[in-house]
Amino acid sequence: MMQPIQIAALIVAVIHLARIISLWKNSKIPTKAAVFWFLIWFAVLVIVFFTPAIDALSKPIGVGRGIDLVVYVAILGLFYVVFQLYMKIDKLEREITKLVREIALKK
Amino acid sequence: MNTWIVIAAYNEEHSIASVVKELSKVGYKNVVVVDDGSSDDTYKVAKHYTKHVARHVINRGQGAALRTGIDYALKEGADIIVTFDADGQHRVEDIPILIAPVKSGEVDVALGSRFLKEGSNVPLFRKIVLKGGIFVIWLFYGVIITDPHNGFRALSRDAAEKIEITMDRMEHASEILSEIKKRHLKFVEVPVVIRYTQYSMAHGQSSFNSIKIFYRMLLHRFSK
Repeated sequence: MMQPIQIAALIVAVIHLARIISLWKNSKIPTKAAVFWFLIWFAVLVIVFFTPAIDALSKPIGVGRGIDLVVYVAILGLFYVVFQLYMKIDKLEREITKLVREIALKK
Repeated sequence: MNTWIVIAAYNEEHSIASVVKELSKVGYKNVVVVDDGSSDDTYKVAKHYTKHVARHVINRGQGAALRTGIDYALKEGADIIVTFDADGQHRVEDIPILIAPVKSGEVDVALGSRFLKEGSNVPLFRKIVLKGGIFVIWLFYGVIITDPHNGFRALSRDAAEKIEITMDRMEHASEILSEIKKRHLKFVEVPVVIRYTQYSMAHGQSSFNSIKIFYRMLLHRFSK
């Protein structure tokens, strides 16, 4: 018997998976990004269906509930993504400045 | 010696004319104004008073604008470069005092300091913020400077070529200090007076901006 939260997670995951596949098919996103996001949402599916397995994984490393482990990992993952984005924006800003300065000195 | 004044201006149409006029009145004709993507008429007004105006098509911050101005002055063959604020808070009569030690070859960089003069007129809260800045600079770069965020500086050509400013916004002031240390440049602090007019207080940096500056310095440190 599935809990309501599992059903909700399932629906959200399936919607995102379908979206990623359609974006990738229309070449709206690169294959690398498609694979990355596909795996993320696929992982959500796995977690929804195999909650006991996640529990078995979390116990030995000292995390009581499997879902807690999932949350911890997710937060770490988000931090990583935010940092990557920060670095990327920083680089873009530098490049914009370089362009603006070159244009200013050309005239 | 060929002295160039570099002014970074962002939305300063009301003060830029008088600043450039004042400079030219006492004989500083080599004035380059960098309009940092202003949305007002800074560019037009500046163009009217000096032929050396560079324009950033979009706003990139004071650090970037100063860098553009310094590059411009170097290209024009400047021997000494003075960075000067566009809002009228620096006094032209302080320029000769500031550039003297650079001119004589005694130092590579002269930094204006509002705290070296007796009876300085710095508002109390601003004083506290600036003193906090001194501590942060010491923590980050190991140099003790009485007034790290003073935009009034004189650089020798050699120093201007060596100093690399990579931070676009206000953090460049701290970055210049770290560059001075890294490149083993000789520097001296020279007492100057800052005119805290209503205009410059309204137009300048809010004291609370120091938190943002500190945050970006931290990020910069860790993203290198």
